[in-house]
Amino acid sequence: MIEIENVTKEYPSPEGLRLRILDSVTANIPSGSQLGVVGRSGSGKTTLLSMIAGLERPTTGSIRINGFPVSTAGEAELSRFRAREVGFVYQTFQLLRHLTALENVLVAAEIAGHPSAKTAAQESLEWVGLSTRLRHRPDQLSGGEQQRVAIARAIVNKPKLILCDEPTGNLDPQSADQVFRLINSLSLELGATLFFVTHDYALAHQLAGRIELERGQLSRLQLSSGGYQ
Amino acid sequence: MNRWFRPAFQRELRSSWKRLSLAAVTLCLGMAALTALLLANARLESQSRRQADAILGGDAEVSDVRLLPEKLLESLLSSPQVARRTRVTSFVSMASLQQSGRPRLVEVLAIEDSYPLVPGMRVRPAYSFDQLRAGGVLVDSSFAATHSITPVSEKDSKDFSEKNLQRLLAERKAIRIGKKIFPVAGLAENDQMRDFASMSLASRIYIARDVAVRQKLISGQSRIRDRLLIQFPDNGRMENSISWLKNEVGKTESSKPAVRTKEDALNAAFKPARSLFLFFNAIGFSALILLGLGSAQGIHSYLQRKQADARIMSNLGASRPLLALLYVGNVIFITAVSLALGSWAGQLIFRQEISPRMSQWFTGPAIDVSLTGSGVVAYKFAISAFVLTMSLILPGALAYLRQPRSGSSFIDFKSAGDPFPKRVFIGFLELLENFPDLIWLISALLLSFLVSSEAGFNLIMVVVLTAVYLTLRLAVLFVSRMGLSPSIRLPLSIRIAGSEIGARPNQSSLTLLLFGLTVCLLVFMWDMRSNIVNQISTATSGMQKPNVFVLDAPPDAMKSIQNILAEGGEGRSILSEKITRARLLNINNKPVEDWLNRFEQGSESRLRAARLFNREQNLTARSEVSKDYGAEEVVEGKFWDKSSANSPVNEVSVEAGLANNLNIRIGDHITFDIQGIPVKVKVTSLRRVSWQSFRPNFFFVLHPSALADAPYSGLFATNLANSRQRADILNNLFEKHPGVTALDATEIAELVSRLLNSALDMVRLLTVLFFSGALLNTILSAWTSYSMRARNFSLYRCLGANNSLVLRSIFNEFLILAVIGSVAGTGASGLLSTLIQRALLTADDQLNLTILPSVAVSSVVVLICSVTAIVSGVLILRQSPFRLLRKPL
Ligand SMILES: Nc1ncnc2c1ncn2[C@@H]1O[C@H](COP(=O)(O)OP(=O)(O)OP(=O)(O)O)[C@@H](O)[C@H]1O
Ligand SMILES: [Mg+2]
Repeated sequence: MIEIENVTKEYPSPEGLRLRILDSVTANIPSGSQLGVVGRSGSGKTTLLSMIAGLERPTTGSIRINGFPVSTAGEAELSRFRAREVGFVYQTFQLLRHLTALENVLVAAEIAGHPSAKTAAQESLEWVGLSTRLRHRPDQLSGGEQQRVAIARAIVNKPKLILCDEPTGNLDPQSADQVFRLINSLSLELGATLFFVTHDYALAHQLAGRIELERGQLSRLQLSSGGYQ
Repeated sequence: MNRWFRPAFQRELRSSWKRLSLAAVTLCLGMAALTALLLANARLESQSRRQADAILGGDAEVSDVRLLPEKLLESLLSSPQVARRTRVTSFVSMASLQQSGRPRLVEVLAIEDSYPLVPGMRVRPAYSFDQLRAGGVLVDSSFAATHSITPVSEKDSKDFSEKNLQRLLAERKAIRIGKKIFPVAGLAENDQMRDFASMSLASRIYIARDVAVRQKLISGQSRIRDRLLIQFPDNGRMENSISWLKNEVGKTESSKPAVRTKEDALNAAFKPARSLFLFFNAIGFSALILLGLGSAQGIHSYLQRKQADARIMSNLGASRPLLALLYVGNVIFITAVSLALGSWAGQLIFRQEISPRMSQWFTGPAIDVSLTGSGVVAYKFAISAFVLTMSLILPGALAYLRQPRSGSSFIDFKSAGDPFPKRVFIGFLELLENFPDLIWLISALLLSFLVSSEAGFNLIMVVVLTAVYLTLRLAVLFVSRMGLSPSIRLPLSIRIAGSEIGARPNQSSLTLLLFGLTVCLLVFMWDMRSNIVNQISTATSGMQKPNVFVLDAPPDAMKSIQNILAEGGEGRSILSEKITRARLLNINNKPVEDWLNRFEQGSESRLRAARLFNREQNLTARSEVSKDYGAEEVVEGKFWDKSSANSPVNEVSVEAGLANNLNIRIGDHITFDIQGIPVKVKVTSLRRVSWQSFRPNFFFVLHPSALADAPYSGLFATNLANSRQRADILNNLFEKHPGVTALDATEIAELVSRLLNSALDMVRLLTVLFFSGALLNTILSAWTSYSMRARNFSLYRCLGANNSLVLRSIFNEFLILAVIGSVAGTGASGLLSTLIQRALLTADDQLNLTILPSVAVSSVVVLICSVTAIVSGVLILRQSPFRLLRKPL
């Protein structure tokens, strides 16, 4: 269960004003939900995801994930939570350029203290169909392949929560489709909750649930196809 | 100027200043070092050139410790190869300034009218030189000043009646040498260098040669030096003339006089100052390389960021020349400012710190050198500054010309169908662009020829540095290969650290090189410092060290001299030695000439050996290795024992350094010519001797039986600390034994310690310069790699790495660099010491390496790295990792 309660996020603007990016967002999302997150640029999608992942703290309000108080937890607990429970996929891949595909995945498993990190990493890369490219560095891979490495990294610890921030934004429609399907099936297989940010409504529609943000406010929350809250 | 260019340039400068400021500071320091070096070198060169003529007093000198053979003189004097010449016969004697009173050690020079061949001596009053022939003498003006000696009036100078002379002596207008009194006709002032080699620091008294001969002054002396100074015709064929001269002298039968050229004399006179200077030169030059590498690194990282900006601006339609200016404009501007500031600081350092110390190495007035004043310096400075600037701008210029993978408006000069030479050339350009340090090392190579006349040595430095650098690159490659490799089970923080090192191979190897170099040079200087301190303590400490030497004591006067020296000092230790003068005749039955041929023609070792062969050697006999010297140690072979004293043993113990120079080994046979009688002995041991001990030391020590029948003279050494007592005893000694020579070494010891102290000061100065350079460089390298490190660690944090893992990884990264750097630096300092020992020092100066400095310096480096790592880690942890990742690259 992901409980988002009255979450507000403000940033100081360069002019000294307080910019309200998210405004009293409240949502209760059952575990295992598959959600497309949509909204215009600047509506606060990335900000929401970063707070769910425990990378940013809300200005007011609280977030609990399966009972874990993300918004108030200490640094060490939060790190452990991030390592074990969250898989994050970024629009810009965010791979370490000096490491091979395998090492990029491996490092996430090792940070989480996975008992058999190497096998897990290899398996994970196998799932995304890159078992032949283990020793390649990011600059030797195409954009779609790089994003698949990032996906392998996100799922290597079998997280309960997968957060994808426009993972298909930099890809051609075919690769985008492939990546989307991969994420979708993997999260279903893992029984993980999926937040999938995209500007592509066609993709968003393929997911059961949907979150729509408008100027920092939750304008619509649909948990499963058909039902509205 | 384009309408929007100026504001763009200014904004650029403002935003890049922070990034470039550390590079600018290191560049500034490097430039300061370079300037100071150039000036110091110019000073050394001009001063030595000016004194070169004065030291020898001609182009060449033929000299002997007895009167030169008449036959040789005749053949030389009649030859058209000799343009001008003059003969000087000198001897060290005691001179009395009053009827009774302390006799002073003087060097009497019996000169001819043609003296000096080269200007450099001024005489007051001017006419007094002509009065030498009448029987007057000239006295060193400084000597005259200390002893309130004044020249006689013109009238007095002609009255040689005993009564008048006695009166003049009482009025301090005459001097007594031996039994004769000479009126002081005038004062001489000369810029002559003190000849460290011969240690004759005695004040000079000039007398006409024919007067000295007539008065039998020369024939009574046992330690004379007879020299013929020669000036060759000015036809630019000095080499030919010198070999002709050597050939002529070579025709002399039996003992051959020595030939010295101006070069030789200069080298000998400058040896202590010069080798000290070479140390500083090499160290200063390395400082330059160190600092240059730092700024090259800073500018390179700046340029890498610039590349992205330039690409955007070109897409916005900026014209190409404009872009180029924008691209390298900041670097040129900042380089220019740094060069100006640096050279100003360098001049300041030279004037305030180096120049006063150098003054102690020379006598005579200091020559003023400045960057603008002397043509040679100005041109060297200009070229050095140009090379320096170019080496810093080149990476930017190349990056501009060949924007990688950008296409659009930049030249991409590589295409698939290029001919081979073009591909090689472009490959080279790419190499330069990606390895700013390589450019810098190449520049350093160029600079090594410019900065000093001792280019060879600087070249060795560059080669050593390059070798070390390449090794370190390999080490980085190795560490990065290990990286995160899953097959190696190391703690995660170490593996992340390794992969981070590998992520920035250029920067990491540069950082390593900087650490290594710093460790190397600091360790080296520490060693040098402790060596100098040791030398100072051996040179100055202890009342026990002899400061008075009595030479040429006739065998029948030994007892009496011993008693005179022992007067008034209960238990004063007096060392006495029997000295037999001899020449090396042959080694292993091969004449020394043949033996010399074993050395490469013209090589340094051959010159050294030739110098030793040409000299008359002092032999002594000992029945056992002497313990009271404390400074003598058998290093190879076996010294005979005392029990053999009465049996005939034809053995010799040779000083280790000399044996090394002459290629003499245990078991060789040496034959000496002792006054015409050959004496053959076998080498059975090698000894190491501490020359700084100021005790009488010998190259050759023979078994007593080998010298049993040889003629000898006595040598005494003792310590007379009190100067009054010293004067009384020497006076007494001189009265009773006018034939002996006494040497007062107090002044020499003081001079040596003054020299060493000035060296110590310079080492201190350089250490401070280095240390601040190293500190700056560490900060700089952490700074320039900060953005990439911050980015990588932010990602690790987003992946769930906690603060502790991040801190440990950063800490380990610096620690690994510090440890590899320290190990490499310690190794390199060993290599450097060995090279310096080989190239600069004769075997009598030992540079002892100890382990303590390496440990201490390495710990300091590790400490600095740790602090830097922690600071850099805390800075990273203070930022939100997610926000950092969102920033554009
Ligand atoms: N560190 C920050 N300081 C100030 N404002 C910020 C900061 N980070 C984000 N913002 C602002 O917050 C708003 C929401 O940003 P966010 O990245 O969440 O939008 P988004 O919905 O993900 O947009 P997009 O679809 O373009 O990615 C934006 O207007 C942005 O300018
Ligand atoms: Mg976004």
